[in-house]
Amino acid sequence: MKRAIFLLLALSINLGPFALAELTGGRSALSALTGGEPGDIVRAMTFVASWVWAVFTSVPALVGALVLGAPR
Amino acid sequence: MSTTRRQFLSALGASAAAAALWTPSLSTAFAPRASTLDGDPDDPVIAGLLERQRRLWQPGADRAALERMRRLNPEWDFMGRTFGGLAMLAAVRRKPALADALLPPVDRLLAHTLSELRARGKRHFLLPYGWGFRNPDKQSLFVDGELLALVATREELCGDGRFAEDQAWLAERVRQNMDAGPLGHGESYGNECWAFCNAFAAMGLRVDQRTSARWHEPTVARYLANLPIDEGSGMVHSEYTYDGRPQDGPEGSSLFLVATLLDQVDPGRGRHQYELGRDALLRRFLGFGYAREWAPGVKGIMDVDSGPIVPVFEASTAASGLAILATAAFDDRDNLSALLSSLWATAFPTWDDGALHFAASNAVGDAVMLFGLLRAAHDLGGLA
Repeated sequence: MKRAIFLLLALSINLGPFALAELTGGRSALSALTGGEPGDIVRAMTFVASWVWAVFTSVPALVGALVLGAPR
Repeated sequence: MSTTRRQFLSALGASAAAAALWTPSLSTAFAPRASTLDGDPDDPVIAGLLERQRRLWQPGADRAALERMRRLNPEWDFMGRTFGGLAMLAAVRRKPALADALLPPVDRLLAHTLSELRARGKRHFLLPYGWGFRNPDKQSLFVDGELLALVATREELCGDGRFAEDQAWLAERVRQNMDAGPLGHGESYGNECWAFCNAFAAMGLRVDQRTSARWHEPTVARYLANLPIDEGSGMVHSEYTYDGRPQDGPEGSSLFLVATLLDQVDPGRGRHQYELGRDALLRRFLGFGYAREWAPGVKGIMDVDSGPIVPVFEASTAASGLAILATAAFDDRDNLSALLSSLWATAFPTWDDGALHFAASNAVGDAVMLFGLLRAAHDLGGLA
């Protein structure tokens, strides 16, 4: 149970910002900076930052939780 | 050591161990399919990029994406058309069944671009600077060279003479511009000769020669004889004055295209340039590939040509895109695969009902990558 809660927490902390940025049109906003679809710079930067955050924190956290065990 | 501190260090160690396991294998999650590396028009990625280009030139299509791009840089609008057009022609050559779907958009693209060029002049596709042209007719090789390559390649594929008058007009302007130059190289902007544009122009003349009664070998030979080479690196300078004084040294956003086209004009010499550029500018990191705009130790300024430069790695978005084109043309599959892994991981591929574009790129970037994947340069050289 503890492990499930920890995993859920890890997922929402690490992937949550990315999912939110994706859902609020961050990808379109990014396109706008390069001459693509309409958007704004704040949403575009949030999208990129959340992606970097998601990639570089999720996997260690999840592997740590699954392989090495959740904290007591 | 307190329990809390021990737990914290254990967690830190566990995270580091996990990162050491997953980071080196991350690129495998983004590795391209064999069919993408092969340039198969039926490959989902290539088909998606083709669909994006096709839709831009459908009757009544929303060309707002092109308009937004030309507000940032009108050159990108123009280059998106030429690279996109050449890529669609290459797809038809690889798979003739695509002709009905792709030739009409190419013809609309050409008709639209030629009418804009004739009505509004070259400035419509140029940045607002550098009007002090030295060549007698005040022409820009940037516009004429690429467009000639596209018109002539279409003629070579279709053979119907539909744009014959335009082709002759463009070929004459390109030849005159290059012949008038002290080095046999033409200007893109006033007193600015670009290796990129001269390579395209020489290539365009060669295709024109194959599809008409015109003879351009003296012009092409003079261009080849006077290629401005950087003494230190052996690579072609990206920009030089009308009389040949280097302005910018070798740059990835220029060299990879120049090497690719040069190899079609002068086989062997282009490959040598590619190998120099590969060694100096291509990098791999944890299975991902990228290209630098400048060789190590060379200080350049980030501009509209280099695109954003990623700090620390010095990775250039423009150089990396054009490196995809070169690695495909020279069949350097390992580097091509690494570059495409980076593209898939960081450029945010975005699908829209079967059409693919990259959110971190733009219409010209998408077109350049498609041109590269389909080895469209081989068509220009008549080798496909």
